[in-house]
Amino acid sequence: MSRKTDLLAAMAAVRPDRLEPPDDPGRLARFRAIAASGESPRRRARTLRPGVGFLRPNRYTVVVTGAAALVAGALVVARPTDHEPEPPSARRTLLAAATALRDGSTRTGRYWTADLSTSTTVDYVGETANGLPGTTPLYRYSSTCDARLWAARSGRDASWLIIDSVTDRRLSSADERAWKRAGAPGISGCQIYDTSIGLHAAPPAAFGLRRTVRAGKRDAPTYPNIGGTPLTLDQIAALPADPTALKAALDKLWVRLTTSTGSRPGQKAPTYATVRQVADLLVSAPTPPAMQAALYRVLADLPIHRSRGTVTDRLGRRGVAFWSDNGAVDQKLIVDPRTGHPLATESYLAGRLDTFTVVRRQGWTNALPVLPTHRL
Amino acid sequence: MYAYAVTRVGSAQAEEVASETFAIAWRRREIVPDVPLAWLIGVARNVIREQYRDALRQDLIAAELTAWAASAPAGGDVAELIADRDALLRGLAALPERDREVLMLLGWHGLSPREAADVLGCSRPTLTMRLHRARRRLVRHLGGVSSDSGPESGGTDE
Repeated sequence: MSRKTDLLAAMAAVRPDRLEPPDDPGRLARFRAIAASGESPRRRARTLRPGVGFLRPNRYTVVVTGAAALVAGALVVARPTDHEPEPPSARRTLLAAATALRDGSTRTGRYWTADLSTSTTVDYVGETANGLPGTTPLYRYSSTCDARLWAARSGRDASWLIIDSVTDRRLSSADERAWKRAGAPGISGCQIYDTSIGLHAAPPAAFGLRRTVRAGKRDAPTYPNIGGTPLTLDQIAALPADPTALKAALDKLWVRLTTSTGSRPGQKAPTYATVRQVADLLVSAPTPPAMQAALYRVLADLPIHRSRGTVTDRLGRRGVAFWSDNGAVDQKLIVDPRTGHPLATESYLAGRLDTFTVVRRQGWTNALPVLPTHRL
Repeated sequence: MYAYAVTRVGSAQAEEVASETFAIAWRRREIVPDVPLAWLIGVARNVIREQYRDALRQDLIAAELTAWAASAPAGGDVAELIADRDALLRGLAALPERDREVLMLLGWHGLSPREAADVLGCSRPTLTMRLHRARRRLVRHLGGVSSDSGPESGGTDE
């Protein structure tokens, strides 16, 4: 055997096992669904023999769904044609996302950081002469809040929610005129994910986050809110990473929130409430990868829906949307199933996009936050 | 084909490349050869070339190979020719991508020289030249002396 051959033989002998694809029973079905739904390459292939360039195809035949896409301009849903196989189920896709997280980086750091942008539509009602809120909206505007969450892993470090900017835009020229008639009120607050923040000065501003809440003070405002319940960083860190135990903990939170309105202790949360809790934890709370994987497994056991193909969030990123049937507010969680990373949430009210949050960045770091001068 | 994608863009991106490649193969299934590996690798190669910038691709796989080297067990008997498995993986990570690719097509992905030439879009003599240079550079990285007697033996690298 020549030495030339031996070098290649040596390479073959040390071929890493990691070159083999990881076990994934859903891979074939997923590939088939993706392949079968991609009828129209974005640009026509020149030739198909190996070694000659082709042009990237579109994965899905793009069909704009009715109300949601027309109103929101955000969701472009892919829909395979009738003869094509069904795409993977919501459960299978969520389990794949959980697996991706499990197999991804498990590194943590000194801080968990998330860069979020929330846009919401606001009906400004003003105040009456006696200081009470008015009953008729004076004008409407969209408010976009850009914020960064710096949640410390250790209680020795301070945690911060930093509001970088708030941008208010009246929706129409009539709204603009009404705004001026009302005295052109300035920015007094914003909404970041599901938490309303009052601002006494123009941003940027940093808000210190508490790790714990004294007994009897659970209603004190804090960040984040998980399914309508304020949770502190210590409470989030104490959530179990086992899916069954995690679901039980989420049920307990929901029961605690709703006891005063007649829920029975021990009652399980309805699907829409759990979906909301999971989305809140994934998007706005410092959850390590193992807990994020558990959250996807909790979702996978629920009767929820997924988009038939991919959707595009407001930043143009592709993902899969999940939602439950929950009545008036239709909240969609958009996830990149390949990485398990949440991309966005979108809430629709009567079919109209009302609020959306995009996760611009999320992850652990050992860097220190750069804080604005204005701190609360 | 998945293995080829891993060696070009790392395992985190390989699934996406495989998915895209099979999507194309499905649409063009009437022209997929009976022995499809080389054809699929050629398609995957184009998917990667279009979707990943060269610098990013280089960073992805160099980091992956170095990480493998850090965690790889000791090599077997055949690997005695070179220092050890760790050194081989680190040596591959240090090679230019064009060298690494030709070595992996033949050494890891099981292609014949003719199939590798088809994938790379070059002639068989050109492939032989590329392989010779790649092998010589790898041996050099491993600290050994190449005994290759190819056309550039004793000369300078390109």
